[in-house]
Amino acid sequence: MLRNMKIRKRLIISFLILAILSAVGSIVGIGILSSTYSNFSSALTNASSSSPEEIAKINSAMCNEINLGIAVIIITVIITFIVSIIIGIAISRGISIPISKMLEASRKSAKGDFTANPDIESNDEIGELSLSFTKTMGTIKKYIDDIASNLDQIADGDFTVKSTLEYEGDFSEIKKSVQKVIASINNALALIAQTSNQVASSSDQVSSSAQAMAQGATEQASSTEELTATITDISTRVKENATHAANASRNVIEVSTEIETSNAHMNEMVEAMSQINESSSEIGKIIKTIEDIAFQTNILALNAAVEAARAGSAGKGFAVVADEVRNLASKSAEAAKNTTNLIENSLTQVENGTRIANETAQSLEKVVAAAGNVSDTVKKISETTNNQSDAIGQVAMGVEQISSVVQTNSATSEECAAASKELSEQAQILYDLINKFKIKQGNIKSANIQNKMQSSVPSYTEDTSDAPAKFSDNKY
Amino acid sequence: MNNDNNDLRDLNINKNDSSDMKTEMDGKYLTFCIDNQIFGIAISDIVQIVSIQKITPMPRFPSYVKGVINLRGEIIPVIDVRLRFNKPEVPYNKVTCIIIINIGENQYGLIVDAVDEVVKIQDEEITAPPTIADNYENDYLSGIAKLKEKVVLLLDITAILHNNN
Repeated sequence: MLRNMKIRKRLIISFLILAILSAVGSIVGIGILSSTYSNFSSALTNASSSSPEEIAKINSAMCNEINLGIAVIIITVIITFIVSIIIGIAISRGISIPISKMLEASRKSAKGDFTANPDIESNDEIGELSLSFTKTMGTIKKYIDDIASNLDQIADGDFTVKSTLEYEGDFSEIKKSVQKVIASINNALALIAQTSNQVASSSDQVSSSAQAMAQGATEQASSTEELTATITDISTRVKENATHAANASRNVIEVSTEIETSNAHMNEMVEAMSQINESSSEIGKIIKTIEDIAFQTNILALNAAVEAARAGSAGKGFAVVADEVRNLASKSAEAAKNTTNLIENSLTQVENGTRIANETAQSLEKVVAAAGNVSDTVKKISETTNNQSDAIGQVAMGVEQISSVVQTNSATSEECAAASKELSEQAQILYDLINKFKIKQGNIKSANIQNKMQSSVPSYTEDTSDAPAKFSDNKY
Repeated sequence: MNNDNNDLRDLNINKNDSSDMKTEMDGKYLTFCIDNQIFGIAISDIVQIVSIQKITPMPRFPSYVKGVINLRGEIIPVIDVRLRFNKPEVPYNKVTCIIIINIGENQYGLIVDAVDEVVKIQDEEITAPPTIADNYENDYLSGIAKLKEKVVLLLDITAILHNNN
């Protein structure tokens, strides 16, 4: 009975009871005491006329009455005390116990046990508090369960969840928030799906490009190798050229030396020939002398013949002698003439020889000049060949660099191809992952997802077809 | 010039004195060469043959008489036969000779281009000089001899001396 009364009533009633009790007791006590007092007073008044025994009897009666009164008071006090204690205990228990239960229940619910029921069976405020507490907890639990189940669904990948539960009051905020979240996630996932699609296709492109590049780099590498081979070939030929040029140069020098020797010999020959000339001249002079002698002898012989003729028969022998002398003279003349002819021949030959030697010398000079030219040309060829060699060396180095770059390119492009393949696969995986989520379809309003995420819920239209990788404006 | 004419005419007579020696000297001619023509003179007329030597020109001699030479102390006038035959004069060289001829008591020198030899010419080989040829020159010829392939014009030295103008 107490339990069903409101606390205030209980407290008022309790305190009334206490007050009444104490009042009653006090009144009784006071009454007694008053009576005693009056008795005492009357006694006292009578005392003067009473004997000590009466006084003693009155005293004792008074004492007894006082004692009684005291006892009543004491009893009243005690009763009041006890009653108040009892009431107090009862009330406090009536309040604190439910409150403890409430406390307990709310502690439990603070720890997450929303099923904690204080189970207070009273109609007082605390009972109502407990009821409403229980109700609240139950509601919260309901909401939480609802949210939890939805989130579980979401965790399982179903973003098409929708709660039919009505959230009241401030709880609607949660519902809105969750809805927003789901919508955002929907959008995000749809966007991710789209993006992953694009990534997949882009990475496919990159992959094929990288493969093409790798192939190109391979071709480059092979071309570069061919180029290197060709350059090596050229280099070899240039070296051969250089060797040939050096040989030619050496030959030219040898030829020059030979020609100089020839020239020297020629000069010696010309000198010898001029000496022959001189000798011939000397001989010529002698021959001339002989000729003169022959001539004179001839004349002498003629004179002798004349004298012999004039001497007549006596000069016959003399005539013979003269004849012989003439013969001799003519032979001498003949011999001298022959010799002169020979000498002339010899001189002619020497002239010829000299002329030929001069011509040869000129030719040799020309040859020397030409050889000089050749030598110069060969030097130029040598220089050019050296330059060529250097240039080829540089070209070879350049080609090597190209080659290494190409190799790097090749490796890089292969890595790129591999990476893009991975990327492609990853994108595919991503795509597959996203496809696992059930996302509500919707119109893709714009590419600006951020705005969408921040827009309010009512802007979402209802379109609940379950197609993956599409937006859904869903009412959560 | 008058002196010379006299001398030369005198010499002309002396030619006939040495006829007894003629048999040995018969047919022997000295051939010499002037301007590629071979002439011949009978040996009997020849004294000596000498090489060309220094000629001392005489102021009043005819043009073809070049001058005189000193031959072993004797002064002998020399005649350039070329000029005498109106041929162009050529410079003297080492084969140019002077044939000393004896006409009468005087000796003259004939400057010739070259002397050839002493040949014996038979009479049958000698023919009279043709009259068609240049008269001027023919006066000097006593005949023409044919020797193998050579044609020798035999000179009449007196004629050379004679037609002295």
